[in-house]
Amino acid sequence: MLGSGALLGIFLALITPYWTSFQDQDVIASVNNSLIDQRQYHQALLLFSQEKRQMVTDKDRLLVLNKLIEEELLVQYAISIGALRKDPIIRQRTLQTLLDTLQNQSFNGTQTVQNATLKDYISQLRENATITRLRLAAYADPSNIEKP
Amino acid sequence: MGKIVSILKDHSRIYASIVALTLVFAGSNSEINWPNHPSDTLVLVNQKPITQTAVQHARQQLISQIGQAATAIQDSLIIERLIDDELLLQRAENLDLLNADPGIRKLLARAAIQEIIKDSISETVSESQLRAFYLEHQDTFQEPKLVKLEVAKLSDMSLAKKVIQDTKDTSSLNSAVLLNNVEMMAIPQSALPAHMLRRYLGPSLATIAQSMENNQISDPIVLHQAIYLVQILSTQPATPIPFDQAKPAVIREFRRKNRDIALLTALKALREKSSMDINITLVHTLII
Repeated sequence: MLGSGALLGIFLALITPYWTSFQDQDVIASVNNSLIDQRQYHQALLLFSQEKRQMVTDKDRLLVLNKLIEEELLVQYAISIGALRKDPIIRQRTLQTLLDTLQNQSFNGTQTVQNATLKDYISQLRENATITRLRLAAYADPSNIEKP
Repeated sequence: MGKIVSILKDHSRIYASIVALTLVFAGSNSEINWPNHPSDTLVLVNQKPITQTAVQHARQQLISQIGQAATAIQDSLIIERLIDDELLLQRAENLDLLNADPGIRKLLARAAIQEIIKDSISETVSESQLRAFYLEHQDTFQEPKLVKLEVAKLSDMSLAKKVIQDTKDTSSLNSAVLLNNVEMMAIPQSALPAHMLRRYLGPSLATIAQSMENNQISDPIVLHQAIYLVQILSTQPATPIPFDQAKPAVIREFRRKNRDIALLTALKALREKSSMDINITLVHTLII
């Protein structure tokens, strides 16, 4: 019984990536399990055809797809080298986008940040996070700092 | 005495290890370096490090924003702010904002390219490398061939043939066109390089014009339901630019080629390492 369960598990694990990418009719390609969907491809193809001012050929379609795949590979590479945290422009843009998203969600009343201030939201994030201070001697805890 | 020496000999490896370990600890900064985190890590936020270097960068940024007043801000406050930022960044990752926002994706792709080509930007280039590159790419470092021409656009083949005959009689397409009340294409009177010819005439007509001789009149050229007649008034052949004069352009081109090679190589490596599936049917059938 255990053996057949294990075998079934292994089988499912092996077919899952293939299954998820092609059962979804919207998916054009998957790059390291990141999906490029029909909408992205359609938009890129439309832009390309507008620039070319002629009918797109099969070669053009592959060219557009390759560009999307290359972009995906570059994005994944940037994330892997820590650009999100190292690059101040990306960092700032991401934080701003998150704050805008939270604000919109708040206006729509669909998410957890309804009426919550950013401070409350961060407090909530802190409560759920694991924060390990490795060099306590290097700085004082802010709660111990005297306020003027 | 002999017994003591024998014991020392037997345990010599253990003693040597203890001494070595002591030296390692004494020589280190006596702090445990957590696996896979930078040595100057101050705080781990869900296992993501905040380092002393990050604190210094944040302070520099503050100084650039609010001036020297930022030097008085305590490290602890900056660290707390960095913890907040880190928590928000992690939240952004969880919400998949990096993929959802096309602007962030573009910035990430640009950062990746910068990282890939950074070595080729800082690389020093020798004079001999530049000279070799200049000689290998003579076509790039020359004043382009210039063509001065006139082009008539007609809609009737018999009229086109008459204009050709009149051009031969008068040696001027312009005069023949005036005689027959035909439309002349609006092209600058000056000699034009290849890219300008393409811009004014389109790729097909430009290619034909570039292949023609001085003073030659073309046969009627049928393109896009119109008939064109081309007369070449003069041509100036391409002339090489001397190395010293072309040097800044040679350096630019050399670096550009190196950047392209670095990027192509990196993309090839990334592609080879990746796992990829393509729905090729959809690629070819999607209607735009």
